[in-house]
Amino acid sequence: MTSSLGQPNAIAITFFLVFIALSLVITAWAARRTKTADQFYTAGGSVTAFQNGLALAGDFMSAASFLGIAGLVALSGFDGLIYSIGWLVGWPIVMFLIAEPLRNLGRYTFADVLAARLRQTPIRIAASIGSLAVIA
Amino acid sequence: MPTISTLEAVSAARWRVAISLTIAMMVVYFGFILLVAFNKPLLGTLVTEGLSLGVLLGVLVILVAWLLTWFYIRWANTHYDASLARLRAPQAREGAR
Repeated sequence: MTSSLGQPNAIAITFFLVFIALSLVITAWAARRTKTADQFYTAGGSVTAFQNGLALAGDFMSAASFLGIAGLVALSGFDGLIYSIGWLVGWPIVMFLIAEPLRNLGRYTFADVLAARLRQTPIRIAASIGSLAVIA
Repeated sequence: MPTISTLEAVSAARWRVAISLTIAMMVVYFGFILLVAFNKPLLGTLVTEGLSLGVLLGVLVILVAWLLTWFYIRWANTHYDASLARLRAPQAREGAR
């Protein structure tokens, strides 16, 4: 049985490049309109709750959710499903504990919040290493 | 709770709600995980054809997460933000104690 899996697919590569180009164009357009940190992180507070929900949903229902979880369930069955549940359970807890203090501090990122209380340079280095280690 | 008048009381009330909801979420989630870890046969029992108790409880955990989120948002919008608005209003500042 022959399979096209793993072979270069011209259509897929083209669309990948098209999406990258589109994202970069939108980013460049948005960057010209962005002047302050407030505009950079929260679009100057002009994002409605519904739009924010859409953005979070897009973040959450990502390739990791659809491909990663589907793959995990295919490989390890029920254990893969538990992973997706634990992931979702983390979000309400983050909201209960962190959302309001974050809003009160007027900071936008985890590192900004820590830097507001602790020494700036070491905590930013530690936060960067943590983020990169988790992502990579 | 319209009687909340000081900033400390508002803050304490918010932490009480946040901690209670966090504990509720943790109990539900870790209860589920401990069941998975220590009572696999129970979760393997079929509720109906093709649906095991484990999958059903997993979906319920997700629904509980939504429910707690909804509860927090409703509380924040009706009580917390209202209390903060009252505190910020200039005439209320003199009225408070």
